[in-house]
Amino acid sequence: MVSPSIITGTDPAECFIHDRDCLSGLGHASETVNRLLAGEIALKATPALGPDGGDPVPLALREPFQHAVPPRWWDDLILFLQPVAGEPWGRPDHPVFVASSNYGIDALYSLGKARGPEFTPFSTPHGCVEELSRQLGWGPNHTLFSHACVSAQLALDRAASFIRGGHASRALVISFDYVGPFVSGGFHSLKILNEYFPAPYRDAETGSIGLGDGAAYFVLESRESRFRIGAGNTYNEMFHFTANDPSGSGFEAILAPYTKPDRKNGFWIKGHGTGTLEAGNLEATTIHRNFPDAPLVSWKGSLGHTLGSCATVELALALEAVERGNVPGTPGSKGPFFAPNVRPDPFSPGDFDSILLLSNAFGGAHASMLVHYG
Amino acid sequence: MADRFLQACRAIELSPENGAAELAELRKKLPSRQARRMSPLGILLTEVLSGFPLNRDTVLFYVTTFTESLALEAYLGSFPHPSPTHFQTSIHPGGIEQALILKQQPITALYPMAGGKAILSQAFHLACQEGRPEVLVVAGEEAGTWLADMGAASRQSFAWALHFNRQPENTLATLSFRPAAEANPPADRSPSLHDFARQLESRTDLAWNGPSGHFSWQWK
Repeated sequence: MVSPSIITGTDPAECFIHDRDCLSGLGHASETVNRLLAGEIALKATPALGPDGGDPVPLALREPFQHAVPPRWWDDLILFLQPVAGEPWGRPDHPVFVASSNYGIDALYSLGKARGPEFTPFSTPHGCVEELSRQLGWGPNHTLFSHACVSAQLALDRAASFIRGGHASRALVISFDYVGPFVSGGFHSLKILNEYFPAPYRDAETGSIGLGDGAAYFVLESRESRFRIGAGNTYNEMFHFTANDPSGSGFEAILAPYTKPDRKNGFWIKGHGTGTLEAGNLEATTIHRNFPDAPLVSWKGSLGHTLGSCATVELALALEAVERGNVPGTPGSKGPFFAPNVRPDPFSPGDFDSILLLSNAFGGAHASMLVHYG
Repeated sequence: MADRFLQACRAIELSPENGAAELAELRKKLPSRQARRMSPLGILLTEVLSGFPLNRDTVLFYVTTFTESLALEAYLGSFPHPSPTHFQTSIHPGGIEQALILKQQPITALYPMAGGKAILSQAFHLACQEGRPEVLVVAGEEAGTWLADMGAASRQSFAWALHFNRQPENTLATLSFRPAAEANPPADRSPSLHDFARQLESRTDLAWNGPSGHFSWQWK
């Protein structure tokens, strides 16, 4: 029996989301939601090692892989961040929280191949962020998180905690994960990135994931806006590096705080849903057991898994969908599903007042967060 | 001012001359089946955490600038046939996960951090602002070879762990944080993770400016 985990987000002040956007293989948040609603699949069969060859695997890239300095994604990210570049970010009361699973790992791959020092500045997490700071004129107050695919949710959680605690007047959360041969080659070696396209939550014989480029930014403050960050929760199983506890203990633990009667209804669920079988089954069935009426969706069947950036990319899409009044279903997947509350098709968010955002990662890491929209 | 009180600390560093033998001795202390696949950093972190109070409700901040450098080197060397084993071992935050998986110790709040010269200050800032009572700050690096020559890995293998809570009685040291009052505070002078390991050995008081404010560390 799993007891409820500690819920963060109980500080007296509240935290609201102001500016936000994301980038995916389908464009910015607005364009991505349009194209997801139309059922478009961004993933394309692409050699796992890009110009260095490899088997075709499903990737949703904003530009093709290349060995370059700065990395292929540099200009894309800098341009994307321009709308929030004009503030004194990185000063003591304007902290920046940065999240990525891989930061500049494609530069590390190039460094490994060419042994050229020109790749070094981008090949470490701090090197990438120091270059970003220089380019965007930020101060040095940036905190970097890297917890594989729950990274962005941790950054959002800590940034919200700073706002609630009065430790910052505004906080910027940015996340970016651009795929490179290092990552696609690694997932391909684990056999979960294969020739099949992902079908999240589908009760199929073969599981698979896709990978996608993704970036996002969020500006948080205590001044009210339509979107309020509510309770959050994390849990780390520490059962196995790449497998979940088959009892589902981690999925139960992360959902337990929301099963109280006053929380139980009113949200729809943006699941993690990568397309792997075991995790997809545990996630969907545990959700159904606890919240049989909550719609569950995943967008990774189209956008691929944007790894350490997935929580913020998908939250930006979820908020855009709420404003649009139409939430994309689960593109790339069709029944039979592991649980009946998986929604393959779009639905209205109007019957709910909150989104439950879920992310998982290697090590049996889990993160959840409620975002209220009223 | 936010204070955290040190209840326990441990640090370990492999010597440049005899590091392999020292690591082999540490490895012998662990179950052989699991230890075979552990990285040097995972073994060092397991050692410094032994005997530490660690339960599901402990908040753990894990800090490393370069993480599993030898696994990264081995993984990069495996292309064009990437090794699944080295890929798994190279994934951040593998070092601390090895230590916790070995214990089969679930934990609610794990915040793995990356970062450069200010990483110690950023971790201590989060630790000082943390509302939950029991906090561990755990750090480590693993010496690389060619990645270290390229400036992308540590030259030392070390790990340390600190256990803080909010009880000032019978404490070993006090960590204090004062937020910067000015918009542009004095330049960051954060100690490196390795310098801090040495400080734990010498028990020297410290005071420095980080990106978000002023820190002091006073031994009792």
